[in-house]
Amino acid sequence: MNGVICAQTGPVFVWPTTSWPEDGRLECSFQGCVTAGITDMLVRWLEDRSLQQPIRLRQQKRMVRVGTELLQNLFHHAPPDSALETRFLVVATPESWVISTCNRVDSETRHNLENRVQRMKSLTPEERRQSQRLSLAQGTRSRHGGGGVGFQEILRKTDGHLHLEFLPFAPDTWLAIFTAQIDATHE
Amino acid sequence: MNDFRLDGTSKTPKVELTVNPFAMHLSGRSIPENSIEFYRPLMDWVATNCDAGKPRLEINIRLEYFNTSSSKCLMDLLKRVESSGNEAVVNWFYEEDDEDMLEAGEDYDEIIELPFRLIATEAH
Repeated sequence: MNGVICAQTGPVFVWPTTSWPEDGRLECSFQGCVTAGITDMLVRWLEDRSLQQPIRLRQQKRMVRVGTELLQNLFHHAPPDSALETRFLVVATPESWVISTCNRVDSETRHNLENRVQRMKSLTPEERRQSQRLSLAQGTRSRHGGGGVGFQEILRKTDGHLHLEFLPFAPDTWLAIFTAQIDATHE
Repeated sequence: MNDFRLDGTSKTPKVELTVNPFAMHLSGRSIPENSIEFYRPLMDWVATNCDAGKPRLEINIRLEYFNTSSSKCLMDLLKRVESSGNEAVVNWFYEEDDEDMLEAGEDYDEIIELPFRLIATEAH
């Protein structure tokens, strides 16, 4: 198997099937707390794998850019006591690379995420670009400095192929599954 | 007026802010978890060194990767130069075939009033 597997022991985690590519090959699976060191390691791995692909430079870089945003989303937003529910997976298919993450969220966060992603997905590519420009130009900041530009960036880099779904986990608690698909048609 | 330099790391860019020549160079990658903290000394350098009476500042940005929190910090940095009244020019380097980095430069160019040069380099 290519890639790295870093798994903590724990209950078997069933990945949702609705956005899971049937013809995919698992490249990387991580479960646990996403620290700065883990992010570093996984981004390096993604970069190494991207360089091995006979695809355009832009697509190679998109694998790293999307992976970085998703990993840093986990770093900043996955609750510290949720190591068993926090996951990062990479799957390769003949036409694409799929990067998926899972983290625990409460109902309010679910509601906010759903609204934001739905709103951004309804935009055309040019509207998304304008929206990201507007966010960039405005002085607003999230606690970590991004100001909500991360999902706009992922949507642009995946040409809109970002899927979000929620699985019930506990009362008022959900597992948020982000699945980003990057076109990687071989030249 | 002092120079400010940082070596690049796997997550942060190489930084060279020099008074003579009056220039700012950022190269490598900018994907730190806490971009605000990383960019704070750069913002301070601009606040201390840039104003309307100074020579033209040459800003060279040659980044392979930057995360979205860095994109906001870069915007803040360029806006601070702009609002200082210091004459400046931004050279935005991107690897040919990396249209996303070209688009990012175009987006900054659209927002910031400073003159922008979008410069394609050979992919390495």
